[in-house]
Amino acid sequence: MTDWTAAGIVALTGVALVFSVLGILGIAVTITGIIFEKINQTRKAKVQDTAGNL
Amino acid sequence: MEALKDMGIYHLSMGNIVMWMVAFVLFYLAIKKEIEPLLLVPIGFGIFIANFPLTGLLEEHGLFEMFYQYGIATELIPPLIFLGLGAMTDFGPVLANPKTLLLGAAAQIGVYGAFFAALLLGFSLTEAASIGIIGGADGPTSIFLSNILAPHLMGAVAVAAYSYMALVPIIIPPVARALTTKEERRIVMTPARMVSKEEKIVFPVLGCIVIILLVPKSAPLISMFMLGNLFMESGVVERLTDVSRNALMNIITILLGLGVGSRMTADTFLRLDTIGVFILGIVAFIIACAGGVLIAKLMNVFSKNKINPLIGAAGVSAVPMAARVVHIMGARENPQNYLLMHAMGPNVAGVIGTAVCAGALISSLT
Repeated sequence: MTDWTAAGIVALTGVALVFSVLGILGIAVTITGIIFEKINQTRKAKVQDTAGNL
Repeated sequence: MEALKDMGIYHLSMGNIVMWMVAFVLFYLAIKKEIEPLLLVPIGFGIFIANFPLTGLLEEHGLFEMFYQYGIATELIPPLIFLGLGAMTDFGPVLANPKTLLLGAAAQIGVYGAFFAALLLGFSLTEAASIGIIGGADGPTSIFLSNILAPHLMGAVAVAAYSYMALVPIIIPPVARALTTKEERRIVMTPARMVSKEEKIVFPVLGCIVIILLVPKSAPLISMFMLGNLFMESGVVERLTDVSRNALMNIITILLGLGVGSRMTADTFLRLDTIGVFILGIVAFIIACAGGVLIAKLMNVFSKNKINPLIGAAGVSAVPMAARVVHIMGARENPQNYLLMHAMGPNVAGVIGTAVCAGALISSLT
């Protein structure tokens, strides 16, 4: 006899978990991307400054 | 007469011969059609030899039994395959467009759709979960999960998963076409941004922190996947990267194939359950493709930068074949469309999603 309540809980928690894990990973990746882009911009600006001084 | 009884031929059953036919079909698909040959040749050969009587290969300390016990029953081989996969995977497309992670998640709906379908057909919860994971289109994850939840179905689940992965070019186009309009298929996506090397190096560590903290049972697969990727992206352990993606991968593929094939003896495979696994496997695949496409369409409702919903279908793992199929479909609708790199995002995210899904199922059902 299938326990449909248990099956429903397994499916709901599973789907919710997959979406939340990948969603949170997506947010973390976006934030990391923004941070690295800022760092790279700063680095480029410094290089240009140095080149200008030369 | 006694001497005859010691010969295999005396004990050969019709079931053994039918299983040889199954092995020959796999040889045909692998050698003639070049469908997943790296796996179907060893799996087919495992099936072939496992169905010879009196060999002792499947008894305790038998050769094939040891491949299975030490490699698969201990859950050693699937994570090692993930190590090799990680060392071959470029996460750039995901990092450039993190939204695609949601498409990888969406494709996992197929796992749960097939899970319910399997329950309706009378399979138990653990069996249904093992069958449903076929929808993730990820062979090692399917083997990993079914070995824990329903070891008696592992052979059928593995063969179904690898067979359907090979059928991705046939399964995806009709599903994706049915769920999209011509205009949607013609959407040209804006080129993705360049991803720095540093971002790629940080991702495996970040991925471990986020995924393993939330779904600890996914750790065997995710940790190895990310380690392989760190090997590759760091650029300082070329030898380890090379071994992970080549020598190690090849060795464990042989052991995995023989271990899985050896489980497929006539008495375990020639059952109604096996037919059920194959039917439900394709149901899982179709729902997975549909889930990805529909979520992509839903995302377009809220997003300014439209995404081509075809790339949602690449959320089923099957890397990189699913992405290639989507790319070809897009290019046929609009020759200006270059979807390959965009489709690689959900494609790679699908691998992570299936591993997370497996971890969630193990947590719930063990």
